[in-house]
Amino acid sequence: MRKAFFGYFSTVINLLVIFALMGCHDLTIMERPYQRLLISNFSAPLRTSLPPYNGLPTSLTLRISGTISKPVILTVDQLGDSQGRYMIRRDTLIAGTYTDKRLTGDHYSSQSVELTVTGTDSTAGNLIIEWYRQ
Amino acid sequence: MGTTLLNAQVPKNRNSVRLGVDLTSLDAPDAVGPRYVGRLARHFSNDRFVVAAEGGYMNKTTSNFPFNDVDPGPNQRERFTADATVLFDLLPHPHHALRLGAGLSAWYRRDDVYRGATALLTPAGLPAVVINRQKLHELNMGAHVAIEYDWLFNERWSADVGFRLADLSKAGISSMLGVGVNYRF
Repeated sequence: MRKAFFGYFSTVINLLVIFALMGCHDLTIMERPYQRLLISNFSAPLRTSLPPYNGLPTSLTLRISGTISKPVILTVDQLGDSQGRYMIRRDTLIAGTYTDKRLTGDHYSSQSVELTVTGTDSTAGNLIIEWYRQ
Repeated sequence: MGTTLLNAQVPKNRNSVRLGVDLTSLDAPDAVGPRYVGRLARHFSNDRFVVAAEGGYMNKTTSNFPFNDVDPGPNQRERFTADATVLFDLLPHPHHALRLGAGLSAWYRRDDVYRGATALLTPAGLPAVVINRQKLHELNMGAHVAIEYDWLFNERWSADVGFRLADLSKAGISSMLGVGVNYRF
């Protein structure tokens, strides 16, 4: 009985010590700010940016759903770097229907990035674009 | 008489298992919901001390008001909780226990929450809306204090009600009001 007492007691003490050694700190596994764009009119370019990333990302992803009648251009620029503003990627969506189309690529900068969605006056339809770094 | 005064609850079974549910508040005013909890405990010194290890799960989804008639999506908060607690019984009674306790907490959270939105407006309507959201997977460490009343209505079975406060660092302070059923073995 005494052995069982000390066995259980030491297990709990070990658990407490592990918690204490971790110092009551937080351990962030994933922190992903992301944006969801809902576009129903393409008469003017839409610009939106993601703020500086907390940490260092490894990829940038765009997920696209919706239907468009004319081509739409997606451009991603990096902002605020010592190299100034420069384009990371440019994709042209041909007219048609997209269902969770995933565009992804390497991305290792924590600076702000800006997405520009450009259609034409006569582009009809709507798009939902979700984009993020991680 | 002396034995009655020395003992707290009936000391025959030294271990207990508890199933309960806590009404738990999270880091947003509307994020309050049930957390389902399981607990294993060992009773020492004629039940005067209880050392407990506890695991729990909570999933709370709250809705947001539309932004310019566009639904920004719900706030989803999920918690996997682990707590280790030492409790002390204040009552010299074989069937009733009033325990004060303290311990350490490690809660893992998986959140997907709405952070704000921007709109592109024209006289003709709303051409575009940008919804800002955030996913967060994080282990938060902290400490908690607890008070619970436990009624041993049978040699093996008891029911309890308790209140607990946990300070979980970046995840803020959570309060819990709970009830449970214990089985001793």
